[in-house]
Amino acid sequence: MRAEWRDILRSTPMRLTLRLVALFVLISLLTFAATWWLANKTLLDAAESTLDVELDELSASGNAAGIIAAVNMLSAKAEPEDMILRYESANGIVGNYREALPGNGLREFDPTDRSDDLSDRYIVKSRDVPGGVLTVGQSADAFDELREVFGQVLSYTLLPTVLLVLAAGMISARRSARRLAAIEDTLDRLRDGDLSARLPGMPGPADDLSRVGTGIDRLAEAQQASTEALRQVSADIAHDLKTPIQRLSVQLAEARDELPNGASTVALDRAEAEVAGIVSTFQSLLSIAQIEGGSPRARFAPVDLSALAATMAEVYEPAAEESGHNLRIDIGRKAKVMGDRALLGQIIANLIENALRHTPAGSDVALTVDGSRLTVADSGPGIPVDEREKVLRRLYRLDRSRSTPGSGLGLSLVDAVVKLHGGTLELQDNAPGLRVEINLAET
Amino acid sequence: MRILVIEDDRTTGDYIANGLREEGHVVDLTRNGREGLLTAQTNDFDVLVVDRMLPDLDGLSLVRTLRAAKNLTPALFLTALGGVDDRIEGLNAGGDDYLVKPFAFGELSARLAALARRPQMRDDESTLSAGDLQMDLIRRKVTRGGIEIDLLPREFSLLECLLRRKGRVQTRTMLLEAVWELSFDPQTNVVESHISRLRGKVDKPFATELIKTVRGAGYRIEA
Repeated sequence: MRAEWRDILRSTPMRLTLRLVALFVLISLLTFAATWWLANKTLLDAAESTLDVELDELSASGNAAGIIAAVNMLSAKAEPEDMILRYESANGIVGNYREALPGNGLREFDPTDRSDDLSDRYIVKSRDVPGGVLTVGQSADAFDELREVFGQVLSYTLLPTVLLVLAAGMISARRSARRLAAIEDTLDRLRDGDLSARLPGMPGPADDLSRVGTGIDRLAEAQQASTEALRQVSADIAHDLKTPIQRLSVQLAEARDELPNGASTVALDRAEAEVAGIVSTFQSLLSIAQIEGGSPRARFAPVDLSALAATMAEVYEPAAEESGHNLRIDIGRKAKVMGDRALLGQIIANLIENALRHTPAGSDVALTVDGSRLTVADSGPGIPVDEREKVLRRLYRLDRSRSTPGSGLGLSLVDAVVKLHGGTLELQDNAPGLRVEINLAET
Repeated sequence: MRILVIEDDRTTGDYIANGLREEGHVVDLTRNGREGLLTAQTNDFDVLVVDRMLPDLDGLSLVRTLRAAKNLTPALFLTALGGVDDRIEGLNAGGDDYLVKPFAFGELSARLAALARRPQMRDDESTLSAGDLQMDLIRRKVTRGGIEIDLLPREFSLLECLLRRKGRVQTRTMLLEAVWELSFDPQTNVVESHISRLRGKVDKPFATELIKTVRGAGYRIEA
């Protein structure tokens, strides 16, 4: 769940949503700030002209005594909550607010005296008048109301909008995440060799994602068609070549039946061995082609590598003893690998047979399994360093294997199977002898 | 047995049909898929031999059609390909066994004998025997003429496999599948070596040979 949310936050629609939300919030705040500044200024201008009128009226007398009289008169009428008056002269302070009131000109003022009679804040203006400084202030309640209204407008419009857009973004991100998961799933299946994999009917509108999906489907279709064509070609070749080989072996069998009693069968035996060689080479080439086609991966299942190796060692043990070889098996840590049991069995067989075939009697052949690492080491002549790369090449092997028994494709087949399983194959010096190390992926 | 062979190649078809007839079976031979399907649907056969590549209707579709029509006659596919994929495709289509061309007649004959419907061997049997050889499946002991023979577990399984199908040939690949559950293609005489060890214990010390080699096919213990 956590991972899923992280994926959603990282998804393209969510990132776009977040970016748009940030932009929207920024623009909204700028607009609000501009409006706020304008409204504030208008109110302040209005307040200043009111204060100017009051100041003009109060100082109309032009002398200190007249101003004191006017201030006292107005103070008697005005509520300090709405209006404060203060005249500071050499004769002392008069007015309804006599505490200190620092500053000059137009300004905001928070009275330090928190009595109930007073407002929290005032807009005040001081002016130098005959005899002293006259200050008139008016309650800033209107400003605070304006601020409150702005705050409300902001929270009633901006917050829900942001939350709604975020939710919508998340929903569309989840939807596109599901569609992307379907695409990824299909790609995984295609990679694993299931070329019949297609995107399930893409939910949602015909947009860029569904276009990508259609593209993938078309690609898979083309891939499947060409693989199918290739498979058909190899099936046709196999059929057209194997039918005459089948006839040949039939004719050899009939020739054997028609031999007079006691006649030598050496020539027939040799011919049959040749046919067996052709079949084996042909079969290996077909297998390699099919394995490199990659389709068997769709069928992979957990295989107990150590148990399989033990079975193969047991199968080959009497044959090894007959040819004078000492076949050993060492099982270390037991592990399962994802793979095809038949193919893995075949590569172990090929490696053991190679070792038995290419080493003299009396040699050791050691099969070792440790986790998902399989090694077959012999104490024979080995393979020179500069030829190790080449023996994995099919044509090189074909050329060289004419003089040696076996199909000559053993290692190429092993290589193909290991690659199919996503593993690595390494030919090493066993000093003396050859050491083949295969590393597969554990389940 | 009554066997239907559907094989388009004349030489191979005749060879299979003649060979099976020589063994005493009744054989019908058809050369294309549609005709083969019709014959299989209108007659009662014990086993079918079907080439995978046929004119008109390929072998897979043929067997699939039969299975869809609830015809469960065992079928053995002959195929030019031999990959694991083809094997599984064949078995998925309803085939029961599978033989890669070119094959030896002995292998085909042994596999057909194993496929054909026959009275099931009772699973609750506790002893198997052949001649003077007795196998106790519960105590896992083998005696011959009263003398106990000491066998390794796999040698026991190998002998048991031959005894259970007494009188019928078991090919090397059939033994590899039955005893070791392996389907691979050995280039070395692995099965021969195991049989030779088994013979060393079961046959060598005694006057008569129980395990017979059938040329070009495999091994058999006489009933």
